[in-house]
Amino acid sequence: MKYDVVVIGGGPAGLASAVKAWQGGASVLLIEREAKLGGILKQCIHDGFGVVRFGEKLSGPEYADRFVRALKETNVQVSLLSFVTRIIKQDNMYVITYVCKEGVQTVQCDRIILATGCRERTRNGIFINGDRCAGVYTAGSAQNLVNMLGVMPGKRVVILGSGDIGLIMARRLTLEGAKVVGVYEAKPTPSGLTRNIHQCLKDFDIPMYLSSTVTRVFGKTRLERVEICKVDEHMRPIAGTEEIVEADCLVLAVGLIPENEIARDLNVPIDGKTKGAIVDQNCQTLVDGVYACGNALHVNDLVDYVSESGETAGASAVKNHKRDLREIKTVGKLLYAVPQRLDVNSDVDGVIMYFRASEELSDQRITVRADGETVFTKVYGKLLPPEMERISVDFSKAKSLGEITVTLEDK
Amino acid sequence: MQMVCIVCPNGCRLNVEQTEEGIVVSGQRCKRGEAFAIGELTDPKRSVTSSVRTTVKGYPVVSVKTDGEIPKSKIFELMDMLKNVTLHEPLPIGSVVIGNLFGTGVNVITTTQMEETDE
Amino acid sequence: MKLQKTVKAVKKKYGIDVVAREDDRSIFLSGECNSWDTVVAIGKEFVTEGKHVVNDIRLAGYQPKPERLPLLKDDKLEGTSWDVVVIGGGISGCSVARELTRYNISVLLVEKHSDVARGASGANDGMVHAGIDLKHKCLKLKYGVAGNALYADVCRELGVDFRRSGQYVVFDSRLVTLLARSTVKRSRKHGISGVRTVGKREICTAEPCVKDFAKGALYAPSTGVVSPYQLTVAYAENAVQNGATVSLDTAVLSMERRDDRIVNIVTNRGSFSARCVVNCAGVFADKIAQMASDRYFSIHPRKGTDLLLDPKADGLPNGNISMGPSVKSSHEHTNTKGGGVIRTVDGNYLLGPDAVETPEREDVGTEKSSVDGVFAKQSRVCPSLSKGSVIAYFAGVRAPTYEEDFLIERSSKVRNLVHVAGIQSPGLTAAPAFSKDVAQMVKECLEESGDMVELNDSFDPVRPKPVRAKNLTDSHRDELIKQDPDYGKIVCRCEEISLGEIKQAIRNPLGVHTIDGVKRRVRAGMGRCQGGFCMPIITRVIAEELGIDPSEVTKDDGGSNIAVGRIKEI
Repeated sequence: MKYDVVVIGGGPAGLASAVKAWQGGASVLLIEREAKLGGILKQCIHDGFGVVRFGEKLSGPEYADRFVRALKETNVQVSLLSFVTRIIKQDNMYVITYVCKEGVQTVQCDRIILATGCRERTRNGIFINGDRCAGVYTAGSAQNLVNMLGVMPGKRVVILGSGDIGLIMARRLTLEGAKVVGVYEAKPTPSGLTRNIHQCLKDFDIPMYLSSTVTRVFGKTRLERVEICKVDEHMRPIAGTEEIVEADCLVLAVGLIPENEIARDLNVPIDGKTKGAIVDQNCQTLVDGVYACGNALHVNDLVDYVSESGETAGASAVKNHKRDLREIKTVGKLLYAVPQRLDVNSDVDGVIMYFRASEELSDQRITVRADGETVFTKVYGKLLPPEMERISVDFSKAKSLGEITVTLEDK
Repeated sequence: MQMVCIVCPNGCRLNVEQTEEGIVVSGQRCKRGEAFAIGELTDPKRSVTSSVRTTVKGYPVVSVKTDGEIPKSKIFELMDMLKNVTLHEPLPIGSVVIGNLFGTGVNVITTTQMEETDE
Repeated sequence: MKLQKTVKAVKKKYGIDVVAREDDRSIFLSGECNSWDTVVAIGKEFVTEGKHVVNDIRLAGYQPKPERLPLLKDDKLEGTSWDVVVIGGGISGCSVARELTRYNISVLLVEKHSDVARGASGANDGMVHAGIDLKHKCLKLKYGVAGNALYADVCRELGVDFRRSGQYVVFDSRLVTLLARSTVKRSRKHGISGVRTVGKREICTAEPCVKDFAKGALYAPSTGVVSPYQLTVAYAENAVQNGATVSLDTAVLSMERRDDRIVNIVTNRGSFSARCVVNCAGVFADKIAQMASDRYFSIHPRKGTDLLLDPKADGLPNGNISMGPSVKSSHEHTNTKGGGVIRTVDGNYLLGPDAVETPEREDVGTEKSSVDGVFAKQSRVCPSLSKGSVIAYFAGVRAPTYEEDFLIERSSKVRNLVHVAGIQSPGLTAAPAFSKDVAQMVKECLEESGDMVELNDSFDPVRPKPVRAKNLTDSHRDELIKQDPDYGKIVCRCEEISLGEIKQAIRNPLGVHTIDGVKRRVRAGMGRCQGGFCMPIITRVIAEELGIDPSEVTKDDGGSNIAVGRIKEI
């Protein structure tokens, strides 16, 4: 079989890109690993999804369902329970091999959209020592246990990491009858959205402890206790501040990493800061014909933007032109900005850019310049690393598009 | 007093003052912020998401939510009610599981489209 | 006379009053000390040829933690009688059980954990040693060299991956390189083939990461790598396949001796009798001996920590390298023995191990000091490696005697007891060889009290290799999936493990019912997400296969339930 576009991953980014590519006239195959479409949204049963896009507070499964319905209106072919094992480039086409319950399948395509999502950092990645007991889970695993398998991972819970998923799980486990002893965060500031700190922690009187981390776990079979330590400004544990907290479950919400195994196999260059592919404004990576979107591109905090980048990738994957790429350099206190390249041979008006500040900042100005000329500028009263910002930049106003910079500086 | 609006992910930081003319709210980016602040002071409400058990293959539990807000003080009462619900057949998304909660007109509805899967 | 001299010397050196007495087999020590390292050091002072050390010197103020015992209690084994019972399901017990199934006898293996390979056999670096560092005239050398030679055949029979990858021991001084020549000579004498010294140019070509400091190296081509837990599982599965019974969650609690024989063995799953008892209890081997009133050696637990590295990290070697004795670092105090960088049979890299004496027989918790220490020491052979490349770490407790040699013999006091004790490095290497000798000892023991032991005509040495769908060609994989679609459903995305492979492990006659047991067998959960995605799915699969509720599924031993109950029921 030969398709114009193959989308890998059936979460929010993949669903949006498949629909868009089909609407653009392409023949599309969507390959999904699991038995149902929707990706991680299936287990994100809390609400707050789709406020930007639909003006409604949907739950994760509801948000996914809207896109699944849209997909069913198309002729996009969907292969569920399918896992890509190999992609090679042959005669200007990509040959994708995947396994599914029917056997080993091979398809050819012109374009690949990588919508493979992200994975969680683990216990070992953050050097927690101690016993090998049950009851230590990443937040996503704990969420799956509760919301998909219908079992409780613990009754007395410590949460490490104040990212949104940690906060959401604090509320979820509390609602289901567990005692959440506290949310511990190694950074001096919370990592999740302010709104979630209020509705997930403050509403339920769950304490949050900043500049604190878990250094050790104890438990013969199941977790019995954890050791909490204060950390210094370099996030190193301070000796002598150890404190023992009784808990039968430790939930780790210590960060997400874009899943990029396929991108690596295709030699797609990766941005060291986003840990996702380097892309132009059309979500095309530096390898022609390979696109990346959603959380595989960079970890988003709103699914609305995940869908948006999926649509960008899907819409562009049906176009055909020779690219002329310019680097978009970041200057100042920016954690990162996406896209990292501008293709001056395609549309440069209304380029959507996402960025995060590298630290909590007040009264900042973001400025996009092309050859020294300001093409976009905006002032922010407050910027937080956990809250991604989105701007729309019209580069067509610029006289020339040589050196492009994005600068974050004091107002 | 300071308050964070939880209506949307913007999380506007609100300044709320109780004056003789009533409650004055500032800092919101849209008018929902004002309504939220006044509600928080007079009758705080929340929407609730959770799950209920099922006996349907592939669905040990299925996700549900309140289709509107209920009094914050009733959250755990609702959670107890959900313990007594078990679904026995695949229901389409949006099916009412408990109607007219606490006489508020708010229903508990399913938020997952249950279907036969091959897992 | 000599004994009291040592007592005096110890008093002078450590300031400790030790009471020492001896009998024909052992030297018995008692007293009290303030440091565990001193307890062990004093024990070593009394090591004498032809005698074992039983060290009962106490650590002041230390209360030994109670032994971890299974939660399970039933009468599954009550009143049964066996020709042989093997106590312990590590590499020793499982290999011995398998060798015993060559005979027409009833074999029971009891293991107190929920799976085999749970002690040191499940937590070591998987190196099949050449034996170049072993002393003359010890069992380690005898069985280490013989075992190494058997490896390729045993692994082929048991369907376990084995790679004879060789090993470099790198030196940072010319002087040590000269000394290495004696190792070559000694190795030749010990029958270890192919050991040679290697010049600077050769080692730097083979392993460019050492080019800044290497002056030469020793090369041992017969060093190999194997997955220690997969080999242990394979031995156990082959034993079961040939008629042995493996009883998990079964701890020996006491034994009844009548005259010079053990007549009754009490466990948490009932008491039973056996005509011959094989003690393969690892760190508890001396406790088992004590139950049989035959305590004539001591085990001093030694913890080793290994670090698992991201195989994509920069600066890794191509194969196995360790650092030889260094002139520069010889003055450093270190507890670390040998070790190095090992490229595992699965293509991962391990750093380690270290060696820390501990009174705790079962504490496999990891310590920051060990993790940092192993990295600092073992990464010397690949200086550009960064600590961020460490993706996991684990500790295991080894079971050495004070004589630091294997103790593999029939008891001289209890006629139906065989000890397989003190099995530490190179125990994994030696098991294929010593298990055969132990089977012989058991045979002699049985024949002393009964009829001649006959061969088991239906013994099949071949344990079918578990299918690894990922490694098949596309057409073979396609065929397999068409026979059983479960092989086309990928559960562990990082290691590409299918539902079919997981079900195959669960449905094996030995079987497995824990998350970690599945992980050890099929590698599901060993990849970059460390089971984050697949653990809930595997929990569900185990529950479905066993017909239990998902909240009853355990990570490992009984009590280590993944969940504490179903939601809405708390």
